Amino acid sequence: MIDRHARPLLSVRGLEKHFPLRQGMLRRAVQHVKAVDGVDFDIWPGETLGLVGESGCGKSTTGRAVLRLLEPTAGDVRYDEMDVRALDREQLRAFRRRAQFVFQDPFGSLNPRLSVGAMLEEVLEVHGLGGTNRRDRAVELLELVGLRPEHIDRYPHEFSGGQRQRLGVARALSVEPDFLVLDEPVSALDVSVQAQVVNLLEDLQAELGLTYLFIAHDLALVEHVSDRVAVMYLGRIVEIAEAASLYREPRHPYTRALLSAVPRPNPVGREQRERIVLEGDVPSAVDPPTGCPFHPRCPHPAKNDVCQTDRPLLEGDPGGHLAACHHQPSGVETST
Amino acid sequence: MSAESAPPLLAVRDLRTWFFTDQGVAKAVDGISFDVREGETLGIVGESGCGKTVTSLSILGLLPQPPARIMEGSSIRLRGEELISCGERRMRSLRGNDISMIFQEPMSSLNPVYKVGDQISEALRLHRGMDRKTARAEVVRLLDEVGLSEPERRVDEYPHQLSGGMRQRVMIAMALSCEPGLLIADEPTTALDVTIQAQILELLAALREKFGMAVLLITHDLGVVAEVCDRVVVMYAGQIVETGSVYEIFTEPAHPYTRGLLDSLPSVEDPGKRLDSIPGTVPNPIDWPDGCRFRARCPLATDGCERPQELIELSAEGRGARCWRAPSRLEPAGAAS
Repeated sequence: MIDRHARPLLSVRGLEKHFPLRQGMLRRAVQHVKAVDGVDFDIWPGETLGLVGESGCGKSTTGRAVLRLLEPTAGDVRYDEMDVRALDREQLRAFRRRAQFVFQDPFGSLNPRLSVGAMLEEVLEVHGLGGTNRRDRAVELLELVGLRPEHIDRYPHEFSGGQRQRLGVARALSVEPDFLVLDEPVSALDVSVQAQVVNLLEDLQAELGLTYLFIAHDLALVEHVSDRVAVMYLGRIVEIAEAASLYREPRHPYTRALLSAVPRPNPVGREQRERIVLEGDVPSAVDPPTGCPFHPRCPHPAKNDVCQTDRPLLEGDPGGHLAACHHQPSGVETST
Repeated sequence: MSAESAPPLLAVRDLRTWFFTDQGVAKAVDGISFDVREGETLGIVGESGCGKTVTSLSILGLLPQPPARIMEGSSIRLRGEELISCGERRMRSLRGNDISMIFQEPMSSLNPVYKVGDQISEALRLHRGMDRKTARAEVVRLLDEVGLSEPERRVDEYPHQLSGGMRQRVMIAMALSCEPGLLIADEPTTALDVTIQAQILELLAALREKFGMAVLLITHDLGVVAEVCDRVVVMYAGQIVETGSVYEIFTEPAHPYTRGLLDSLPSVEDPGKRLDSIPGTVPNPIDWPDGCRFRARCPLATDGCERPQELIELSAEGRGARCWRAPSRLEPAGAAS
């Protein structure tokens, strides 16, 4: 299992990504969208950290900033003791051989004019891999993701959605990485095909010892694939814990509302099910609420002035179940 | 359950909607029959390409013909009135007055250059003959009814000024404006976040209770079906493969496809358990397989499955499965009901 005493593979501290909103002739930045606004987490070798939240919470931006597909505005990203933000071009390319990104829509990220073989061979060539037998390696990769060798001369449009996502995974794996950021890897797929791709990702993880950052909005699926789960709201992590602990005993009122809102595929007892329905929409990340970003929608009975003025820190069991709420259930230690 | 003895609100019989394309004839909906009873919520569930949306558009008369054609022998009756042959003028009057609809993407169903209030009041003035002032007051009341905050202000806003959840509320207000007997909701919450989805589902349930309208809910989301539907129709490859009450479908699925769909979902009791996937992909509507259309992907396929499959009635209450192997395994449950 995961050795939490070992060094984390990835350590993120105080990560911020602010996008400027420009206006006027001089395109001056008048305001900033605080898409990611101070995020901390660790991922240990071989584990899957699930990152969940609703649209606009910053989960995708976090995944991109970690791999520097987007340059972070502030914060510290360490990968295997390496300062990712300090890497120059050449070092960044070497880093990308170890850490790869899989996109939600594989069709949008596959070149329609390149056959599958040409695409995979190109990636290998760019990274100086595969030697003279790049085509053999490409066939190997196809088989690794459950496609057939004869698929090598086909073009992306000839594949179904599930097969395209397999291609996206094959491309990511071509450089033999240790770490994948998977951004909604199955949300565009039908449920029966989703299961195929999820099983493939789990098999590959076991076989190749991969570490995953699994970004998704489907809470049941994230519970299924993840060792630990982080919940984001308005650019911040509001709760992070072992999957079982987070789903059984959520401590943050937002997590509780989110979990209670998930429709369950079982009608038995549905009338008795307690559901916390939040009022209103998520506020704008341009001008997030002061204090706790969740306070305007928070249904917690103990909500008070402190929630409006002080930003809660992620607190709880050291290294275990953490939540950013001033009113965590009693029995939870808060170290202030 | 007084609804069960009453004649159905909507009766669809042997509906075949085919598309005549350059590549061939796509039999998107290929002989389906079902009823929607007064006041109930019927779910049509299936994966992309199964024909569920073409079914809803056929009922509404909103398919471009050609390339679509509703084939000879198909029948769609609303309170006994045949919709297929009733003509565009009559259909337009029924849409809005008797049947309303909401779609997945409220942004594309709302006109971006008109204020939301004007779009709703258009329906009121057209269908209910209200004057401008009365209509505006009614719009404010409707927006309030669907839980939109500050309805007096929203009336004068444009669709882009609203969030996704608010836009869907506007669509629902518009659909309700003429108090229809049947609301067709095609993936109404698919584009929404889960907390907003919960708000909209709760709103639909409350309105249904209040106005007693029937809802035909079309979705791929089994969770949503389990939460809100009374009865369920499962579609695969243009056909209905299973029908039953929501409890029957989820607790004792009779068709291997329904079972496969449910098993592809993460288990609530044992979340880490490996998912059972359905191998292969959905076949091409231009060339449906002979015999049972699910045969190539079915774990139970055997000799006999190459014959075309009929929807076998498993109970008098509308329970059925298109699988010749289903009834024998269902006997205990069938006998109990």
